[in-house]
Amino acid sequence: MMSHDPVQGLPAAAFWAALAAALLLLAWSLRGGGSRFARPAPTRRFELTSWRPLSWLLTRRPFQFAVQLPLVLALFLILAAGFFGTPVAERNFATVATWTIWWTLLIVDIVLLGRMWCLVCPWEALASWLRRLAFWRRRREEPLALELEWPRWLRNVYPATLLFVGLTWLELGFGVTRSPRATAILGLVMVLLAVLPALVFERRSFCRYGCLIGRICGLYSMMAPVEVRARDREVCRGCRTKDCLRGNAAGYPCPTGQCLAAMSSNTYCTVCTECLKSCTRGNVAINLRPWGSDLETVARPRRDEAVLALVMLSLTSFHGLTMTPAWSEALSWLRGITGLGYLAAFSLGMTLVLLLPGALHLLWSAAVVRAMPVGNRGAAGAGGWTSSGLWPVASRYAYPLIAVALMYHLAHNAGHFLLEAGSFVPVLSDPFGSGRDLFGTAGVVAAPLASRGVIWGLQIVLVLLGLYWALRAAERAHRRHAATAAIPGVGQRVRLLTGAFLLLATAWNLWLLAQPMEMRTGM
Amino acid sequence: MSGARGAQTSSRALIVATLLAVALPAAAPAHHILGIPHYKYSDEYPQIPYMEVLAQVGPHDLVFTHFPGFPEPGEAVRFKLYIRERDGGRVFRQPLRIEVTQKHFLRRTEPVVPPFDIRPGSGPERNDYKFFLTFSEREAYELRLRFPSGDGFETIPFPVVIGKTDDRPLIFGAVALLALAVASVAAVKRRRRWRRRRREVPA
Repeated sequence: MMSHDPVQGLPAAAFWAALAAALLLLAWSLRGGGSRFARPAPTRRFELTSWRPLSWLLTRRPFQFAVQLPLVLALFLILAAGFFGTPVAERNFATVATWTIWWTLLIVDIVLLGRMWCLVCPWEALASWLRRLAFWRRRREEPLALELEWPRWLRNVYPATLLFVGLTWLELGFGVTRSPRATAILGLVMVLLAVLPALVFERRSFCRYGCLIGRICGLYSMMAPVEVRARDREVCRGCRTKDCLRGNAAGYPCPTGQCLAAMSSNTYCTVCTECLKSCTRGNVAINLRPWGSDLETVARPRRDEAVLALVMLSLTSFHGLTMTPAWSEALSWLRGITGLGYLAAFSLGMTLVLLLPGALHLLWSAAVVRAMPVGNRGAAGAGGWTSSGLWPVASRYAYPLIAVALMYHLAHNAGHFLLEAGSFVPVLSDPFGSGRDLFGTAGVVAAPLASRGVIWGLQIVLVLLGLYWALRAAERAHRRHAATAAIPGVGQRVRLLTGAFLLLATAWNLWLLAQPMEMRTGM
Repeated sequence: MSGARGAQTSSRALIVATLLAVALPAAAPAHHILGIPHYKYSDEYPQIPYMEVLAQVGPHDLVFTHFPGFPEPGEAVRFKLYIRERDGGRVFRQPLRIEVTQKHFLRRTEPVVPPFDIRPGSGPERNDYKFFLTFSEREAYELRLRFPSGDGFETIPFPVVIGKTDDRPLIFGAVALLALAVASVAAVKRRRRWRRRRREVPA
């Protein structure tokens, strides 16, 4: 059933209380010159693969096939339901499974399990099965691919960023989430996007550079509490065969070209478990670690990743904004003053929302550069490209924003999931919306999984946790920056500036959560 | 010989039974055309299905139906709307405004006819808003109902798809593209292997 009443956002009292808590958190972090976060995140890890049954399971060749197969079948069901099922979004498996369940749980998955989506990704499965001409067997023959090198000028995350912006434009501008057919077309396009590059380029270059989902998961998973790493780096240094990178009779080469000896971030690892199979020294571990570990250890910030982080911050907010009556009013106003049609006004509005955080971040970064000790700024150079220049500073301080974006994204999605996930029960029994009742649950009108109060509390906690991790990551960025730019001390003014920017982003996100929100499907 | 004849008889019976099974569902709509009265259709019942969309606005439950459920271009479609208060069951009978828009994928949504008002019927149909529309093009449409909600109005979209969209060309096209890519890559690889072998074997 469709509900056309917007769901009430955070009550005013809760919004102001959360804002006050955020302010207190910032003040607390600034006390003592950032000494609260002086110590880096603990390097202690709990190795999950030390549990033998898990280690045994992960090193079996059919493991990935076994976890991918159900998702491939689900993808086929989504395509079939989208193309041949009812056009009513709330009653079609394609729209409910894709946008209410998968798109929501994807973020939960990242926060709890890291890149596990890539392990089970059905598009990757289809591409790999075709490329390898095997479901799980390690074939020694050449893959069915031309093995061309991915173009040098595309070896960055800009293609994925553009695809992400494009998908959001399609999703929100054309209401793909409300059209089973458009959802199925998108799923089919993703199949082509995954398979065709796999047949042309070496390894899984599309996963590494082009996949929008992989790149979003990649950047977000810097926060994740799960990682694949070398058990002992020294063992890797002594390894001449580099089986994780090149593959051997037991395992395929790393699909994204990662070498465990140098891997220090989750960003490009797809958790395919091939390195666990190929490492002849058994030196690969899957660890539990503190949240946000990678964000605190960004050694070499990359501009393309920083741009994606800013785009993610903008688009997660934009996603929330478009579901509020405030957006409808803003769009009407924009159409009124410009005389533009809906789509043009929407595109213009989206562009403005997309560019605004980036422009603000650049302004803020310029202020940070100015706030640095003058002598040291001079020492580092004023060309704008040294480690104290505008772009390096902007790139370095974009990473903490990932924590703010991810936790708001999770808070927003948690609201959707807890209110709407029940709509999955009837469509599971009647995936095509054609009146069938396979499991006797087609008529179920499921209640929300949690009360409004619980959801509001959860959302506030998540957004504040995002600010906490962002402040922590920003402090580590200050200290690393001081070290690389040979600055004796970053200074309280810089801390205050970066903290204020993070607080602004958090306040905006809290305001969004306080707005009445239109739901994707019925409740 | 008799065994062979027995097998022939049983396979003939199987064919007849299959034909009957195929023909029976086809007879069901014919039964409807004969005009035997019935009041409710559903996909489970072998009749022409109707489409039902339920919506909630404030304290009201809206039941929107159209018949037939899968209308074809040029076919008159009967729309019915029944609105009642969730608690108390009081039927809503105020005039409402409807706008019909055509939804194009990757293009703007356009109004098809000027907005018009609908009113509940009289007599036994006094609780239902009922109107007919005929769509000439095979396309996805949206009926947008302007419904009072709080101090203002809420626009509720009801999807109407005219003519089952034939996506088979799209699906076959995608599969053909994949097959072509696989065949091309395989051919290039074979050629590469052949060249490599020729280089390795001395003339």
